[in-house]
Amino acid sequence: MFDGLDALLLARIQFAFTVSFHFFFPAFSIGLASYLAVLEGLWLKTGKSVYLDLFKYWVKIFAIVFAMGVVSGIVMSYQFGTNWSVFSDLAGPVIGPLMAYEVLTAFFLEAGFLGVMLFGMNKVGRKLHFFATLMVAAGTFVSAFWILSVNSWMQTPVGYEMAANGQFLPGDSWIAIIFNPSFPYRLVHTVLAAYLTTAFVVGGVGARHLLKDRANSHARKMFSMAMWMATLVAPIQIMAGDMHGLNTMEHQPAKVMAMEGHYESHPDGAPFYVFGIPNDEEQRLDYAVGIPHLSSLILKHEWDAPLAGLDTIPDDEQPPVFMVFWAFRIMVAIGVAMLGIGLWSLFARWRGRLYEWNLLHRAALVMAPSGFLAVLCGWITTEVGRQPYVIYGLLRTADAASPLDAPAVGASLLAFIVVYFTVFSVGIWYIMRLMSAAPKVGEMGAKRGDTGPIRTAGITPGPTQNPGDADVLPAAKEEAE
Amino acid sequence: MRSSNEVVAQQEAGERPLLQRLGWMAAIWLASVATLGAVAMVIRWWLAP
Repeated sequence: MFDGLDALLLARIQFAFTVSFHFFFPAFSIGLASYLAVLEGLWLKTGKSVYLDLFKYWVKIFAIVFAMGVVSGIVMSYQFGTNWSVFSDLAGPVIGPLMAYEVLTAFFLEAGFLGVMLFGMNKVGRKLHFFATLMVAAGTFVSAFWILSVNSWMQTPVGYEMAANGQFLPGDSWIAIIFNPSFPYRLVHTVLAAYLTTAFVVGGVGARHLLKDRANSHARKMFSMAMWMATLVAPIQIMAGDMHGLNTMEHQPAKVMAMEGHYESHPDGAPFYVFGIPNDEEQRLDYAVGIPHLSSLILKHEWDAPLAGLDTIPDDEQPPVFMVFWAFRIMVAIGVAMLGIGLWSLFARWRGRLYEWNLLHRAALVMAPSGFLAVLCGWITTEVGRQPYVIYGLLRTADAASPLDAPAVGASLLAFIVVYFTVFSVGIWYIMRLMSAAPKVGEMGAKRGDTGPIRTAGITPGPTQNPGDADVLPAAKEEAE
Repeated sequence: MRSSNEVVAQQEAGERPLLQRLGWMAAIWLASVATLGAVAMVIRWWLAP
């Protein structure tokens, strides 16, 4: 079945498929863990049950997202051994310990305290429970720290010594390896992306429920919090992205040339191409629509700054331009749209129409999955852009694969596609189902009855015995506000 | 009635001695880590029997 195919290409498709699938989950869970910590902290500080209700609404979703993230992540690690054994053998002494720290963090901070977060409220008390939530949030961040350190080292490898057998060995200082030149930029850009992804999912869910019921105080609260996040973080993310781009320009210029679609060098200022069809064979950008000098202004902060093009890079060192060029544009367009939504919500807030502007709510709903697409495009830009290398400038992707035949790689790829779509489709369907239910007073048994009698006099049950009904006690409604 | 039971359970949890609450935390933490370890082992056996 796979006899005519290239084993290397299949191995690359397998890694691209599994890592793309995997990253959707941490992109959401990193932000959601922090959001949960904020919600619980606000509940403890203010005593307002709306925060606890929202915490309980999102913690169920977090648990599923986290579980799917861990399972898909474990599969990633095993692929290093199955399909990329040469890479593992050569780079293992450097990246192995860093990945081990990530696994330890995932196990002992994230997964361990997740149990306390989900099941421990009635056993450990509120403050210890909050501590567990903070540990989960810290765990997601620390986990991202180690994984991004590994990935960044593969993009900008420093601090290593080359052994006689071609192995990369750690040099004098692990600090140089961990904090390699692209790591700080990559970490900030990725974590902010995760926060924005979460903000837009939370905002989209809030918007959906506001469209159904503007008076839903829980939907109002989550929409407001999400829009604050979009307003404040989107501009910071754009600045972080710009700095990341400048860092890439310094260390991986060919990637930036591909992002810009610059096949030719521009000695008197380079245009920014808004549109174009990259043509690697002819080494030109077809149907190009560009804004003169803008690329020089962005990358060098000078109108006439010269920019080298791919004509200065040997053919066998060039990344495939089409995917990088378009993935970068889609990511940037989504970033600008996020900024637009943030500013729009600020205007709506100022006009007192944040909860009444249906068009804003519809736009936020449409933008709900945008963060996932943006992070996917960001990773495509950076990973395809560093080709043909897996360890930049040192180890080619083609030289890093396991000596396997195409049927072996193809069969496992097919298995992954079938299993992933089956297992994760069910998980994603369940998450969507949870999100489609409106958050309510007394979410998952929260303390709704706290402010009123448990049972009213007489035979007919009082409203407090129907948690979640629209008809709540005035005191409970007031508290939820 | 679940909400009122939950409130009572939370209040009772807060009144328990710190050592008891820490003990519960350690127990749940260990069970969670063990569960994830089991999942990882199953996937490992599946991929590399």
